[in-house]
Amino acid sequence: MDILVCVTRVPDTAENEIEVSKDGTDIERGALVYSINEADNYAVEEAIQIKERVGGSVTVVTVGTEESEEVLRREMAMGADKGILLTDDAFAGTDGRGIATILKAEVEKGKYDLILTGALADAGAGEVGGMLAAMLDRPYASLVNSIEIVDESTLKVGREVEGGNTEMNRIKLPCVLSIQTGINEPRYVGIRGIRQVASVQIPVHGAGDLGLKAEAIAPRVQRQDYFVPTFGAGAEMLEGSNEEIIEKLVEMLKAKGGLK
Amino acid sequence: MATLLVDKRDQMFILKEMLDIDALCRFPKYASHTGYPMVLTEAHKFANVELHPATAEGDRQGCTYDPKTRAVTFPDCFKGPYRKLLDGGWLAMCDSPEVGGDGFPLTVGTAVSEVFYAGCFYLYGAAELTHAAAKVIETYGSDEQKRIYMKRLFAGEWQGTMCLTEPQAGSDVGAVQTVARPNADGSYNIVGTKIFITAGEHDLTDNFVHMVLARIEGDPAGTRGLSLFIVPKFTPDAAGNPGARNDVYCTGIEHKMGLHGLVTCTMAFGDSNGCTGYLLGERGKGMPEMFHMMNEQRLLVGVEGLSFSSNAFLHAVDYTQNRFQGGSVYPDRDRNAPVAIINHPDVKRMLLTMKAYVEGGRALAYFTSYCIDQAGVTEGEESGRWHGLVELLTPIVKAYNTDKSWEITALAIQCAGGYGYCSDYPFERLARDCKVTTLFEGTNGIQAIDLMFRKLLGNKLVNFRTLTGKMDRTIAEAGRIESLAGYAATVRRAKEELEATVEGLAALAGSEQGLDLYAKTAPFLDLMGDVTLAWLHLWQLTIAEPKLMEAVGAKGKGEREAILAKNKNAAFYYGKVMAGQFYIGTLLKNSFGKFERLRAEENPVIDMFEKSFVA
Repeated sequence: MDILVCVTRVPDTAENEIEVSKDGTDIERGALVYSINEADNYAVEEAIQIKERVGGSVTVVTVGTEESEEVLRREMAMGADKGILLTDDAFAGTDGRGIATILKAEVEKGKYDLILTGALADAGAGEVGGMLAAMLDRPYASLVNSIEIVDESTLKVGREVEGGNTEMNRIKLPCVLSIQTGINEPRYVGIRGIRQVASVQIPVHGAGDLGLKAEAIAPRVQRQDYFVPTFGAGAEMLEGSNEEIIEKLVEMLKAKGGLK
Repeated sequence: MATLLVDKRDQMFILKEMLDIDALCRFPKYASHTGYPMVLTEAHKFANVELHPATAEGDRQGCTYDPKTRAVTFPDCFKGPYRKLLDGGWLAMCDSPEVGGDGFPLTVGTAVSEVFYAGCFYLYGAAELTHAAAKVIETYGSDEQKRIYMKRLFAGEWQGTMCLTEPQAGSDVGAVQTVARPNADGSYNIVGTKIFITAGEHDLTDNFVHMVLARIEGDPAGTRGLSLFIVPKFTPDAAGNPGARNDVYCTGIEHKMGLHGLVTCTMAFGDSNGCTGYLLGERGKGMPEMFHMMNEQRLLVGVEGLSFSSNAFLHAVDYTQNRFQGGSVYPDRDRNAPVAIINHPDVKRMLLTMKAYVEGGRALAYFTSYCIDQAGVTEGEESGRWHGLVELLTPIVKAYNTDKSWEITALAIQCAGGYGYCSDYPFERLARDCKVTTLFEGTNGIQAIDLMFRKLLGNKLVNFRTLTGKMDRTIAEAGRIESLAGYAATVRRAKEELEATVEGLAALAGSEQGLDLYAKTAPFLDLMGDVTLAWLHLWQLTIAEPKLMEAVGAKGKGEREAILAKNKNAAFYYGKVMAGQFYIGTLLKNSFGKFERLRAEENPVIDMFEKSFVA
C-alpha cells in the first residue's frame, strides 16, 4: 500500500514557553524550538506499521519553509521512505483551505492508496484532512484510533467519539484519514536511521511545479487576534509549599461540602 | 524550562559554535554525519521519556540478590528502556560500520553520553561497560573471538564487564591473585575472586562476557605478569549461541551509599574448578589491553560526573525559580513581596558557580573527545599532537569533573534548603550517586599520579606545551576584543603561573625533595583543571561576547533585560558571558592561592609519622 502522510512543523510545547506576540496575531517565534506535530508523528508510525504488515511505501509531505525539511528528515529516519517539501513564498500566510489546496496538487502528482494526516496541528483547527478529502472527492474519517486492513480495497477504522467510546466504520480505498494520538506507540528514531537520511536529497516543489496560482491559495480566513483570557472573579491561586497547598485545598473542599 | 537533564542549547554551542563539528563533518570519514543536531534532539527525547522516569524508581527499588540461585535482579522498570536503548543502536553510534556501528564523531557521542547518563546513570552505565568490552575485543581479539563476542556486545545483547579488583588488589592492580592454568585445548582454567564488579550479574541480558585480569601460572609477579581473559557466563557454541554454564557466579552484592540501581557484584571464578577462560591478545599484555578499555571508561566517568552536575544544576535552577521566600534586596523591586529565591544574591552565587563549572566541564570533556576525532582524521605529527592532548587531558576530565560533581550536587542541595535533603527531590540522590565517580575506574588520587608522573614528567612536558600553545592563541584572540582584554590578561597570568609551577615540579623530580611530588599530585591536578577551564571559558567568551553585543549592544540594564526576556538566544549568550566572566574574574582568583600552596617548601605531608595522627 502506498501511503502519503501529511505532516507539519510546530513549536515544541515541551521545549518552549509560548507567548502571544505584541500585535496579537501570532505567537513570539524568535528562537523557538520546533518539532514534528505530535498527531502527525502517530500518523507516520501508523503508516510505517501498515507498510511493515502489507508492504508498499510511506511518503511524508509538508507545506512549510526550508526549515520544515528537518521534520521530513526526522520522519524518514523513523522509517518513511521518501519526503517531499512543498515551499514557495506564495504559500506564506495561507489558511487551512490553502494548505489543503497545495497538498491536493501534490497528491495528484502521485498515486497514493491512503492519505493520513494528524487529527490536529498547532492552530487546533483540525481542518486540513477533511478539506483535502473533499477536494479529492475521497472518503474521509476523522479522529481515527484504529485501522484494520479488510482487503485490498477496504479498511475498517475506529473513530474516537464522545465519552471515550469508539465507532467502527468500513471505508473504501483510496481514502483520507486523520489520525488521533494514542492510536499506537510511535517508535523512537534510532541512530542508524539518522545517519542514513542525513545526506538524502529531498525534492522541493513550489507553486509553479504544482501548477498553483496565487489566488488559489490566498487566505480566506485571516486571524485577527490572539489573547490570553483575563482572570475571572472567584479564582484563587493557592500559594506555599506542596504540603501547605494540599492542606488549604482540603480545608476548602471540606468547607464547600466536597469532602466530609 | 525545557529539560532538567542537560542544557541542549549549551551542548549545541560547544559542538557547533566552539568546536565547529560541521568542519569535522567535511572530512570523508564523517561526511555522512551532518545529522548530528537530530541525534542530539532524539537523544534528549529518549532520555527524558524513557530513561529518566526509571531512575528514581530504580534508586528506590534497588537491585536484589538471591543467595539460593545466585541471581541478581535489576529493578523491573529497567527492562523496557534498556531494550529500547539497544533497539535505537545508540551503543555503537561512534564505532565503525564494519563492526555494526554508525561512525559518528566521538564528540557527538560524548554529548549523547552526557544526556543518557543524566537520564539514567544505572542503565547507561551498564550499557557503556558492554561497549568498552566490545572495543577491547575489536582491538585485541582473534577473528573467532570477534565473530562470537564482538558484535553481540556492540549491539548490547550480552553484558560486558571489567574484572580487575580483588580484595587485596585495588589501586595496586599488580597484586592480582587470580590464576589461569592452561588446558589441553588452548583455553585456561581460571580460579579467583573479583570484587566491585559493576553489572557482573543481572537479568537484563542473556549472557555475560567478563574481561578478567589473571596471572598465568608461573608468570612474573606484578602487572607485567598479568594477562587478559574472556570468561563467558554461558560458553557460546560454534554458532555463537549461549551454551554450557561456566563456573563463574555472583556470590554477593555490595550495599552502597548510592548507585542502588546499578549492581556491584563479587564474582567467584572457578569455585568448583570448572571456570574456562580464553586468552585475549598476548600473554603478559593484560594491563595495556585492559587500559584500552580503561581509558575509554575514564573519559566516560568524567562525563558521568558532568552529567550529575548538569542534572543537579538544572534542577536547582528549576527549584529556585519556583520557591518564593523573602523580599528582594534589589532597590528597584518591592521589598515586601515574596520573590523566587533565584533572585537572592547568595542563591545566584551558588547557581552561577554551578553553571560555570558545568559549562566549563562540558567544554573540557567535549574538547578532549574532539581531540580524539581530530587524531583520527589527521596524520603524522599533527595526529600525534592531538593524541598527546588526549593523553594529557583524560585524567583531568575524569578527576576534575567528578570532584566537581560532589561539590556541585552539594551546592544544589544547599539551594533547595531542607527540601534538598529530602528524597522528594532528586538532589540527595544525585549527591549519593555521583560520589562513586571519584572512586571507580582508578580513584582520583590515581588519576593525579598518572597526570603528574606519566602524562607530564614522563612526556617531558611535550603535550603540556601543546596545550599551553593553544591557550596562548585563545588569549591573544581574546586580547583583541576590548571588553575581554582584562579577562585575557587574568588567564595569561594563570597560564604563566601554571607553566612556572610545572617547571618547578619537573626540577623537583630530580632533586632530594622529589618525594614531595607525591604529596602534590592531587592539588596539582585540581589546579591544572582550574586553569584549563579558564582557557575554555575564555575561548567561549570570544564567541559569545560578540554575539551578545550584536543582540543587546551597550544598552542600559532596563533595556537589556527587556531584550533578554524576549530573546532566548540573547539570554543564552548573556548567561555564557556571565558564567565566563564569573569564572575568570572570581573563581579563578582562588587558583592563585593554590599556586602559593604548591610552591610552599615546607611539606609536613611527607614528614608526618603514621603513629602521630591520633594520640
